[in-house]
Amino acid sequence: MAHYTITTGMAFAIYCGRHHHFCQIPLARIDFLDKLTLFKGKIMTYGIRLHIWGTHGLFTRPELKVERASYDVITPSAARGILEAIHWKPAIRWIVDRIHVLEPIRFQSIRRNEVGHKAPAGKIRAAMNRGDLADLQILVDQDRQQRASNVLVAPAYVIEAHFDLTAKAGPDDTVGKHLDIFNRRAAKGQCFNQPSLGTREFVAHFALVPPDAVIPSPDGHSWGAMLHAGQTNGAPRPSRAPEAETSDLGFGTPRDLGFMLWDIDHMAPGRPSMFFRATLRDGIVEIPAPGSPDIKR
Amino acid sequence: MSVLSSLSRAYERLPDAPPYGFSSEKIGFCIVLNADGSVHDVIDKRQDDKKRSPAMLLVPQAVKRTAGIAPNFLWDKTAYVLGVTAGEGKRTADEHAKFREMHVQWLAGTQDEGLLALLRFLDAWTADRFTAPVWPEDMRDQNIVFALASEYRERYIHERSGAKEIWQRLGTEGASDPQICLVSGDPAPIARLHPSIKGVWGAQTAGASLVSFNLDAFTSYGHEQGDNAPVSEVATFQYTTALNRFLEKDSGHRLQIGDASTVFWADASGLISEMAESLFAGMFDTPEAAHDDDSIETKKIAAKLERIRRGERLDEVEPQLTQGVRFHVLSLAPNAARLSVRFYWENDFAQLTRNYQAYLEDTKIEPPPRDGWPPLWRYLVELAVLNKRENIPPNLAGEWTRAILTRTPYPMTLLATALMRIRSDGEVNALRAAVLKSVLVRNFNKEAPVALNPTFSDSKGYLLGRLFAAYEEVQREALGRNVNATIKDKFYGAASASPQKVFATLDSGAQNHFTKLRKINAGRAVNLDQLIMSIMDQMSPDKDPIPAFLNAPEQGLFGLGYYHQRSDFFRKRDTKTDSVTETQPETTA
Repeated sequence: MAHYTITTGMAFAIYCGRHHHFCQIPLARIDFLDKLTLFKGKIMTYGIRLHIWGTHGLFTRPELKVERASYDVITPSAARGILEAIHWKPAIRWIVDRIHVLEPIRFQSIRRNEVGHKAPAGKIRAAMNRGDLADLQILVDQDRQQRASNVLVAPAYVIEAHFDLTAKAGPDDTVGKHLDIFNRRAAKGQCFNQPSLGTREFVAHFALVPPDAVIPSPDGHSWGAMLHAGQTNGAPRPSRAPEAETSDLGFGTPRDLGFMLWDIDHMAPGRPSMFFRATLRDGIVEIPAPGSPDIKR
Repeated sequence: MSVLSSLSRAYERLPDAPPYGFSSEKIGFCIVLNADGSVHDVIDKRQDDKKRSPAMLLVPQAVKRTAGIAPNFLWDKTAYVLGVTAGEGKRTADEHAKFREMHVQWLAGTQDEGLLALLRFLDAWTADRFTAPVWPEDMRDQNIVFALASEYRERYIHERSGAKEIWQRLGTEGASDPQICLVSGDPAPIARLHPSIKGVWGAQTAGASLVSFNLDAFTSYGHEQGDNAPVSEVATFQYTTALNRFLEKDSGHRLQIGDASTVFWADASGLISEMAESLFAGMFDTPEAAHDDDSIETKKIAAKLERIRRGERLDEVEPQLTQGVRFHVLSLAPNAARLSVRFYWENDFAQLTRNYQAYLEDTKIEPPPRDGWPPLWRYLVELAVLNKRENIPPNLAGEWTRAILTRTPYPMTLLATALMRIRSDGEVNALRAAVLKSVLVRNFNKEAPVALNPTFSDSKGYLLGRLFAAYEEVQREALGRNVNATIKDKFYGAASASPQKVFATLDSGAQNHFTKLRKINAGRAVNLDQLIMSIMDQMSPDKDPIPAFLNAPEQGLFGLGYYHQRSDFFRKRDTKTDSVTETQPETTA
C-alpha cells in the first residue's frame, strides 16, 4: 500500500475474486483499501486525459437552442461524445470526471443558414416499407432559415475521464484491454467519426495527454496564442494561457455557471434531462459522478 | 450564471414586482357594472398626455396567443370582451363567443357578487349595443377591465378575493408533472409556452419569444414545447416579468445599440444598483433626459462619469461599486417572432469600468470630435449608409459592444465597414478616424498616433495619408474652396487602396497647382512644398515607399494620417499664422 500515492479523484480497479472481473472502488471507501490484499499488477488507475481544442465551439443551451447560445464551457455529455468517437463499445461506459478550461471564455455571434425541419421518422419508415423514396427529401434551398448563434471562440480543454464496464461486458472485456485500445487510438489520432465541439460544424482536434504530463503545463504556447499567431497546425501543449487565469475562470473566487446539462437519461421513459450545478474553480469544472445527489433528475 | 437564472434573480429585486400569476398590462377603459349586470358607467383610464397612453394595471397574466383564440381571465381587448373592433374583424364574433364561453366555464358555481355581475353582463350583452355616447369610439381595441359600481374606487373585479381564488385554482389545474427546472434545479411544474417579451426594437409588436420551440427542427427526443428545456412556471414568470420590465421605455435599464435592444442590471441592493445602472447608461449613451434634468442627482452622476472618462479608477470615484457588484448586460435582437441573444455579459462593475476606460483610450484622437464626448451610437451612425440609424450593419453593433465590454479584439468588419464608408462618401472625420485608430491599436497591435506625429514613419499608409492631405491642401490653396470635385472626391478611394496608380498623377497635378499658388501666395507655396518634402524625406526609396496595394490596416493608417494632417491645416488656419516660420512642419518635434 505504501508504494502507491493516492490522490483524490483517481479511480481504482482491483481484481475481485468473487465477481471474476475488475471492480471499481468508490473513493469514499479508500480507507478500506488497507484491509484488502493489494499487490502490484492487480491495482491500476485507468483514468485518461485528452486535450481537445478547435476554432469554435457551440454547446447549445436547451432553453436557447432555437437562436442558439452556448454554455460557457463544454458539457459532460459533449465531452463523452468526443471520447466515444475515439473508442466505444457496448461493454464500456465513459464517465467524465473533470474538465480543465485552458482558454478565456469568449463568445462571438454569427448568423447561419439552417434547415427548418427534421426528416420525419414516420415518413422514412413508410418509404422503407413502400420501397420508394418519393417526397422524402428536405430541400435546403426551399426550407431555409437564417438563425443566429452565440458560439465560443477558440475553446480548449483537457478532459479527465474514466470508464466503467457495463453489464454487457463479456469475459474478454477487461479494463486493461479497452484502456489500451483507447490510448493507442487517441495517440494515433484515430476516430470512428470526427469528434466535434458541440455541433458538427466545429471540428474537435484532440491529443492524448501523457500520464506523466502536468496539466496545465506551465510551458509552451496555448492554443489561443497559436491561433492568433496564425500557427494552427500541430498539436499544441495543453497549457493554460496566463491571460486566462482571471476571475472569469474561477481564479480567486469560484464562478457559478448555473445549472448545466449533465446528460440525458435515455433509459428513463420520456428521456428527461439531468442537470448539475457547474462551478469553475481555478479553471476546473468538477463533474459529479453518476448517481451522485448533485445530479438533479 | 445563465441569462434566465440571473433574470429570475433580478425579478426578486424589482421594487414593485407583480405577484406570481399577474402581469402589468396597458388598460384603456374600465366598465363599471351594477350588481344585476347592467352597465353603470364606462370610465376612461387613459392618461391626459398627447398620446393618451393607457394606464398600466396589474391583471391576471395574459395568455400566450398565437394563431388560436384564447381569452384572458376577467380582462381583454374589446374584440374579446364586447365583440367590437375598429378594423375588419373576421373572427371577432368567435372571439367574443369564446370569451363568454370560457368565463361561464371558469366562473361556474361562484357566489362572488362581482363575478356574478360579470356573468350577467356577458349574458345580456350584444355587440350592437356598442353605441355612443356611453360607449366611446376610442374604446375600440383597447384593453378593458371590470369593476363593481359599489366599490369602483377600491378594487376591480379581478382583484376581488373570489376572482383571485379561481385564478389560483386555474393555474394549478393545467400544471404538468413536476420536472427538474434548469433555472432553480428543483422539481416543479414546467411551463409549456413562455410569455412574450415586449419592447424589443424591430420585433413584432405583440411581442416575441426568447424561449420557444415553434418548429419541429428545434425539438429533441420527442419532447413537445417547453419540455425541450424544462423551465418551471415560476421561473418562467420571473424571468419574463423582469425582462419585460427592463425593456419598458424609460425603465433606466435599456439602451438601443444599433438594432440590438440592450438591457442591463446590477446584482446589488437598491442605491448601489441604481448608481451602477445610471453610470452604465451614461457610459454608452447620453440620455435625452440628462439635458433637461438639472437635478442634483443627475449632476452628481455626470460629474462621476466625467472622472471615469478622464481615466480615474473606480475605487477613487465610487468605492461602493467596487465591492463585488455583479453587472449584467443582455443584448437582444429580433428575428421575426423570436428573439436571439446577441450577447450576454456578466462581470464585476469594476472590471466593466476598466474595460470601458480601455475603449476610451483606444478611441482617443486629436483633434477630438466637435460635439463633445461621443456616445457609442454616434460612432455607429458613422458606419451606416446615409448616417441613418436603421442602416447600421446588423450584428456589428452588438459585436463591437461585446468587444468593448470584454476588452477583446474588435470585430474585423468594423475596420472594413469604416474603410468602406470613407471610400464611398470620402469623409474622414474625427469619429471615423477614431474607429480606425481603435481597431489598429487593439486588433493589430499597431502603434497609431493620437495626434499628428510628423516623425511617425513606421507606416507607409500614414505617410501616404499625410501626403494626400498635403496635395489636397495645395489644390485648395491654388483653386479656392469652390472646386466641383477635389482630388479627395476623385482619388481618395484609389489612393488609399492602390497608391501606386494614383500618386504619380497627384504629384504632376500638384506641380500645376504649385505654379498657380506661387503667383497668389508665394509664402504658402514654400511652406507646403517644404511640408511635402519633409513627408517624402521619411520614405526610403529602397523600401517601396509607394506600394501597389495597401492592406486594410495600412488603409486605416492612411485614413488616420489624412485626418491628422488635414486637421492640422485647419487648426493653423484658425490661429491665423501666415508667416513662413510658424507653418513649417515641426520635423524635429
